[in-house]
Parts: sequence; C-alpha cells; structure tokens
Amino acid sequence: MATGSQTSKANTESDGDSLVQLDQVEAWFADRDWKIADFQREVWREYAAGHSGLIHSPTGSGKTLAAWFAPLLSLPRPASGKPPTIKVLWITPLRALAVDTFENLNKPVADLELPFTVGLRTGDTTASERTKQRRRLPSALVTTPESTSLLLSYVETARQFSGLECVVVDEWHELLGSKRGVLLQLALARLRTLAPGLKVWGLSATIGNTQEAADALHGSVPHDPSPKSNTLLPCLVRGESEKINEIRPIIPTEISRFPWSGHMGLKLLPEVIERIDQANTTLLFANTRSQAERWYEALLAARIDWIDKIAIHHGSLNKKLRLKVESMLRAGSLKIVVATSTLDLGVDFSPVEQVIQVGSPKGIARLLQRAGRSGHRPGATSAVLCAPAHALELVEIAAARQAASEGKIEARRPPRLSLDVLVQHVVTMALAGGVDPDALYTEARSTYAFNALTDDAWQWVLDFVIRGGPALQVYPQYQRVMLEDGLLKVTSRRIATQHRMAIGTITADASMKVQFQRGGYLGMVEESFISRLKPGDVFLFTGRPLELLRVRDMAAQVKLATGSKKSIVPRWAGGRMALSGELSDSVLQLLGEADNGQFNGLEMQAVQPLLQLQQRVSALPRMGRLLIERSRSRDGISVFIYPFAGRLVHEGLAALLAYRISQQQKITFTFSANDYGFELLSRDEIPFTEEHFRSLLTPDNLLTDIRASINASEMARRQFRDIARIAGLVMQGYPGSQKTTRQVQASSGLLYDVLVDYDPDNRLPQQAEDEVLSAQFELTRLQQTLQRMTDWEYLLTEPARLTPLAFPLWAELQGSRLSSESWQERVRKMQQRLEEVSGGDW
Amino acid sequence: MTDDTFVNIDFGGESLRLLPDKAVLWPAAQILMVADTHFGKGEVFRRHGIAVPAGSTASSMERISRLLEKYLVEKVVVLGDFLHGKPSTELIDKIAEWSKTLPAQLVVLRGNHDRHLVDKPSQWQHITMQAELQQQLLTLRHEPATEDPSANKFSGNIICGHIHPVARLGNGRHDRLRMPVFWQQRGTGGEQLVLPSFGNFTGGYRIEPARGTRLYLAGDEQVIAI
Repeated sequence: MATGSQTSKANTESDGDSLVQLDQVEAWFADRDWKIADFQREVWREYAAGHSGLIHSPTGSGKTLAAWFAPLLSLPRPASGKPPTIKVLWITPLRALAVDTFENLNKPVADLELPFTVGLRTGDTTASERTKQRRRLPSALVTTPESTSLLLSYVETARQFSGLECVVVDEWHELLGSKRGVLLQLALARLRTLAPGLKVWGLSATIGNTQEAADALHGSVPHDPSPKSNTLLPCLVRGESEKINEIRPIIPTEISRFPWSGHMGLKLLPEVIERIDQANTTLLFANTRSQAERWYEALLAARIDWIDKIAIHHGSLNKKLRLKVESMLRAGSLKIVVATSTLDLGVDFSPVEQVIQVGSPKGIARLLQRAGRSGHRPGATSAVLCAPAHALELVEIAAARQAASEGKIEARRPPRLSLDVLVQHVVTMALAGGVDPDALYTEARSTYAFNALTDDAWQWVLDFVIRGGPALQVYPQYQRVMLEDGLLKVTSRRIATQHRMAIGTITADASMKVQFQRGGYLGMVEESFISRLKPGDVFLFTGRPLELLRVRDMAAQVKLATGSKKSIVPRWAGGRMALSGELSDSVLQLLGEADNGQFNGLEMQAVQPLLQLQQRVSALPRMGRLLIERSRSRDGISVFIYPFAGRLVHEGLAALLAYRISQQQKITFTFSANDYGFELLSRDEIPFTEEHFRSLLTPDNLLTDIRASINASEMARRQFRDIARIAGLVMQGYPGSQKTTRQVQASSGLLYDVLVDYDPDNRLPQQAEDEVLSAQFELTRLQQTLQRMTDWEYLLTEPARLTPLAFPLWAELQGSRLSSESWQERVRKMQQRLEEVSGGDW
Repeated sequence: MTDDTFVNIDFGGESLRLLPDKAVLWPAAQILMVADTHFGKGEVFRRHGIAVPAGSTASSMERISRLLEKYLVEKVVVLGDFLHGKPSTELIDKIAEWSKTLPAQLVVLRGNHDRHLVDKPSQWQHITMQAELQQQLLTLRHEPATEDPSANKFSGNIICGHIHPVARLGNGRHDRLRMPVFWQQRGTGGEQLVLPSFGNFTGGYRIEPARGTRLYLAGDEQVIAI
C-alpha cells in the first residue's frame, strides 16, 4: 500500500480497503487546523514498509498520532464490518496516563467511525471487564507493562496475540532505565514469537543514548537469517520540536553570603508568590515529596485566600485525590499545583501557563521535560522558572541552560541481566499452558537485557524455579514450576494465583497505608519512613500535620495533630537524586569561566561576589582541577574534597577514603556529602599532601576497597527487598488470605541471610550487591570520576575559615558515621547512651 | 574458670547464666532454655513455592545438641514456637530421631505457632509437651506478660520468648547492625526475661532502651551486657 502521497486512494481497491484512507486522515487533521508533520508521514511510510522504529523528540507532540495512524492506515478494513480482535497493543508506563491515552486514541476512531474498538486494561480495570477481555480482546488495548505480562500468563489471551500487528511503547525513556523496562523487553520478545512480523514502535523523549534505547526496545532477532531481514532494521525517526525551551532564574534580591543546603528554598517564597499571582495556572515542581509538602504548607500559610485553588500532587497520595487534582488542573480551575515527578510525564495539562522549579534542577532532561509541561501544544513555547534553594544553585541553572542549548542530555542506562526479572518471567510463561525451556532461552537472549545471558546463569534460573536451588541440593516439598514432557508448567492453582498477584507489584516500594483511626484513607507512605517514627510523632502529609497513633496491619493510623508539636517532614527516597554528570560538568565549566574572571548571564553575575570570595579565601574548582581544603574547628580537622560528581558518588568516595585511611592509621571519621563534594571530619591528623591524596584517590583496587568500606553485604541485605519480591521469595498478602500467608511472611533481610548461609550458589544475593553499588554509589560513574581525576591538577588549600563551598557540607554534617573500630567498642559507646536513658537505675 | 563468654544474672532470686548462641542455663534447676526454634519454617515456605534452602532446621537441632554436650542438665526446655507451621511427616520423624539422641529430657511449651500440635505425634515418646512450667518461683512459658518496654508492674517472674527481641547498634546509613538480645525487665511484683529467638531463620522485634530495662547482646561467641 502506498502512503505519503495523494495517490493512495487509487490503489486501495486492488488489495481491499485499509481501515482508514490517507485523505480521511488529512481531512481529520485539517478539521482541527492541524498540519500533518513530515515526521508523521515518514513514520506511516516506514510502518507500511514493515519497519519497526523509535520516534524521539526532546519535547513536543504529534508522536502519539504518528504512531496511532500508522497501523490504522495499514490494517485491512474487515470485510464483515466487525471490529477485529487485538491488532494494536499500546503500552504506557503510568496508569494515570492510560486513561488519557485511551481518550486520545479513541477520538479519531470515533470521529471517523472506524470498525475498531479501543479498550483499556490496567491494575484498576474491574474483574468482570478483565474476564470479558480475556475471552475477546478489543482491536486495540491500552495497558501497562505489568498487565501485558499478566495477559501473556493466560492461555486464552496469549493465543489471541497471534494476530497482533503492532505494539506501541509510549514514554519508552521512562521505562528504559528500570526493571519494568526489562520485564517489557521480555514480554516483547514473547510477542514477537507469538506474532511473527510484529512491528514495535517506541515513543521517547530525546536522551543521551537514543540508539541504545532503540536497541533495547527492538532486541535482536537471532533466528531470522533471511537476507530480507536486513531491510527490516528498525529506524530512528526524529519528531518535531519547534518548541524553544527557556530556562530563566528567579534571582533572590539578596544573595545570602553563605549558601545553605539545609533549607528548602523557602527564602524565595515572596518572589515565587509574586510570579504565581501573575499567571492563571502554575505548576510548581519540587525535587522531593518533603520539599513539596513544605512548599504547599508555606504557600497556604502565606496566601490563605488560595485555599480552594491550590493542590498538591505526589506519588504517595491516594489515587482518587490525585485524579481529582489532575482533572481540576485540566479544567483550569486551579491556580497552583505543587508537584513532584508524578506530573513529569506526558499528561496534557493545557491550562498550565507557567512552570516553576524549586531547588536544583538535578538533570537537563528532567528540567526540559518539566519545562514542557507548560505550553503543551504544538508550536507553543515552553519555559521554566528556576527558584534556587541556595546561591550556588544559580550556577546549576546557568549550567542547565548552557548544556540544553548544546544538546547535552543525560543517558538512561537499561539494566542488564536482572535475574530476578527473568525468574519472574519464566514462571509467567510457564503459567500459559507450558513452554519449551530451550525456546524460552533463545527468546530471552534475543532481548537487549539478556543478550549476554550465559548457559550457567540460565541453568541456575531453571533450577531455581523448578527445584528451588541447585540440582544436587535437596529442596524437599518445593513446588513452583514443573518440567513435564519437556515443557515448563505451573500446575498448582495456588502458585498460579500467587504469581499473578506478584506480577503487578514490580514497582511497588514497600509502602504503608496512612489512614485515620476511623478508616479515612489518605495515601501511601514508605514503610521505612514510618518505621523511624514513634507514636506521638507528628509528620506532614497531604499538606496536613498528622500525629502517628499506631501501626497496625500494614497501616499507619493517624489523627490530625493539634497544638504546636514540631513536625517532621517525610523524607522519601526521591530526595537522594544526584546531580547528573552532564550538568555537573557544565557547572565545572562555568566555574572555570568564573576562575578566568568571566561572569556571563544573570545567574553568574548574581553569584559573582560569592564565587570571588571562594576564589580569594581558597580557590575555585574547575574542569581539570581537584580542590582539596583543610580547616580546623572545635569539632576536629575537616578535609573538604570537591570532585563535582554528584551526591551518590561523593558518598561512595567518602566511605572509600575513610576506609583507605583507616588501613594506615586507627581513626574514626564523620562524613557528609552533597552534589559538589564531601567532607571528612576527624579528631586526628592525616597527612595533607598531594601525594597522599593521589594515593587515596587511586582507581586501583576500587571494587575490593569499596566493598570493604561500605559493609556491602549489609546494604545488599536491605536492597534485597525488591529482588526478593520480583523473584517470588516474598509473598504478597492478599485480601481474604491473611491467615495462610502470615506463616510464610519473612523479611527479605532474613531470606537474604538464609540464602547466603545455606545456598552459597544462589545468584540473587550477588545481584543485590551489584545493584546496591550501582544504585547507591553510581559505581560506574565513581570509577570514571577516579579515572579522570588521575590526570587532574590537585590544589590543596588551608583557608582560615569555612569557604562558601565548604559551608553547606559543614552544616549538613549529621550524616553517616563511619568507624574503623570494632563492634565491641561501638557497644561500649552504646552503653553510655543507654546509661543516660535509663538514668543509672541499676 | 575464667570464661567471659557468658553473663550471669540475678533473676527472681535465682542465678541464671545467659549463654552465647541464645540459650539460658539455670544451674540450680539443671535446666537449659531456648525459645522460638521455629523448626520446619523452611519447609513451610517451600510448600508455598518460595525457594528457601533447606538446612536451617537441621543446623538448629545440631546447635541444641552441642549445647547439651557442653552443659550437663536434666531438662532442655523450648519456650514455645517449637514448630513454625504444620509439620510434614518427615519433619515429625526427624524430630523424633533427634530427640532420642539428646542426653536430657526435651520439654516443649506450646506457643502460638504450635497449634498443629494439639495432639502430640505418637513418634515423640521422648518429648514432653505442656503449656507452661512452674519451677521454684519462676514461670517458664511462651508469651510474655507484657510487650511494653516501659511496663514496671509484674506478678511473678516470667521467662519467655515469642517476640524475638533485637537491638539496633550504630545509627549511620552505612553502619547499622541488628543483634538479637536477651531482654530483662524489672518492676514491682516480679520481673520478666525474654529470650532471643533460637532459630536461624527468624526475624526480630526491635527493643528500645528504657528505664528498668536491661539488654544483653546475644552474639554467637559472646554475650555482652549493655
């Protein structure tokens, strides 16, 4: 079929009509005063030629319609006039997006009266609707990666997929870097087997590794040696981005002499309120939920008249509340929404006029995406106002603008060889009526995530699901997957139900309901946060001060706090995001310019006095120069080191250095880290020479030393929670079955210990350790940082007092304590604490 | 003998010895106590399709045997939660075999997890099962009179298990350690001693230090009063 030209109508007669004609599509666009973009025609052409591909653009729109009309223009119009069963699977990362997408896809279908049905299936879909879908799927289904796996676990739906023509993966960049992306890669491999010739199209924001994103989406097709397959290589299509993204600062009227990283940026509250006043609708993004809660509270305290026009939106909120906020935002009835990354994704909130980012932008891609929340229409300009939380963040804002203009955008690395996900996938496939293990192996190896899967690792996975462990070890009573007539099968109904329950929970952090004593449900909060609170403690949640009463049945019961109790703002995991490598480098470049006396742009001019002070009393770090400062105080001797490699790397480096120093002398350190550098504080002297620091910062023996320095196994033990759940070691309780599941609830830490003690060949603990190193310390980046610093100049200074760069570290020093003393000695210290508490009664 | 691996405590007028490896010796009564062995926990998990390796139950049995080689006593008392769930016949047989080899009488006090043991299996001739054990002025049983660390009133002296007490050492993000503890509480009218759980595959309940409370870290090689 020809597309992309006016002649399409002429040759549709020959081979039967397609579902929709190009001129109908053109008319539909014209009715809306829209123009078909060149890239959209390109996608339709490529699709018609049988190609898969990835459509990427920095921001901007039109990707959805490009991908949606491609199959509609190619699919044949059913002779019977009845809508066909499942032809297009549309996968979206968020349930919240699914509803929106469903409406967007359904619109042209309804307008053009196509014999095509669009359905929706997510974790929210009712049981009766699901059962109906299982018997007969709609022509196109909007769903999530988890629901896709779930559909593949049923024989009857898996069978229907043999007629599938096209899978569209929306916001692929969001899934790419996570295990959900890995799960989806495996599901796509399965779908390619079930439906040969399947076309897969991804929609993605532009990221630093677009080609890798495409590779991960399409996998490789190892068993298609036909020469023709070369012409079917997936293509990259660059989408339209007419949008000019503007990044502008809100400059504080008075630059505080010392930047303070501890506060939340509320110093700029008056300036921010002024901006909010000027626009109809503002989206205010915070970096963490705690920051969002604080801002919500502060805005409301300052402007009580906004009470019915202000809302808060973050991932811990109850779904109903979140949906309500979203629909009010869409209707334009809100003046301001304080949000975290939950509103980063592509839901269309046209009324948003202005976007404000509070605090460090942390990354370029992230800031651009947030900027794109305003003016969310083709051709409209998007802008973001940045409100720095401390003076040095002005440099970050300038750096972000510069990097964005140079097109430097962060990469998102897809995880490789996540065996926990593979374990889950194998069981899922075994549910669907039996699968040949060899075929499954080939299929898994066709994915990007598992193309380096070894025979050994695969054998371990099979042993694990069939026997529970290595073949020679006795695992009595174990049953999960059976090997019958050469096929992997799940025969137990209970195991099947259990597993299907677990598929959907791949993303869930261990979280706990927050509810009023009488049952009013407020939302979810991380269990780790609640576990740090005592009954009677007050915390801010959904903009309200709540007092914890008790924790019961995985729910935190609360009441509204009264009186003037000081509240703790929840610290959610999101707060630990590090400044990206691209942005850090860009900051170093600007500092280098400042070192040369150049201060270009509003931000740099505003922060000039501060940087000059830093230069005068110590020195400015720059690309190619590592600054190390030493200062003395009543607390002891502080060494500040500034590699500018992001908070996580600095935490790792601090632990590494503390460990390496402690190998030479008996010494105890306290340390703190931020995005610029880290501080080591000790009572004892360490040699302050370039030679010494070069030897401490050597990349040699990194892995051994870092493992020794951070108590990697203890951290891996905590990291094990996710892995244990994904691999099916931790059972999800489900309604009506508490009694039977309680006996098989074990903390993941406990399971970790048992595996390490009694099954040394189990590969999951090792995976936990690898994950901990990359997640907690960005190990690869840490390695690169040490490597590149070997060529850097070392500049050691001894300023008389704390410098502007040192001050935030000093102020934040409450961080981890790291000690090279034995645990008995630690016990002695604990004893002192206990004596104080017990009042020496004994 | 100068052995600093254990700690002697005074409890309800009796002298008790807290041993490494989470056991308590009562020399005057010739009794060794352990709590919450949770035998067969692994097999319960495996029956549910959760791949937990075998070995923790056998190793716990082995540890009790070794303790009894070292300390000559008349009775070894398990303070409840002897089993984790419904036992398989293999497990019942294994326990029966093991109990025959013990140089002391095995007394099992019923715990909440032992509900599948309403009738003692016929193979267990060498095992005595009862709800609690009164000896001199001490009561040995499964559940504590209170789980409240600030409680200060007791009626009698209770040695028990059930809650698997642990304490947390260190406070850093990279530097934390959970250790099982013996938890002693003293108040008016009596006192209470809670043993750490003996099983290798059991979790813990964190005890915060409070007035009138004493904790003893139960290391594998050493008990330390804190």
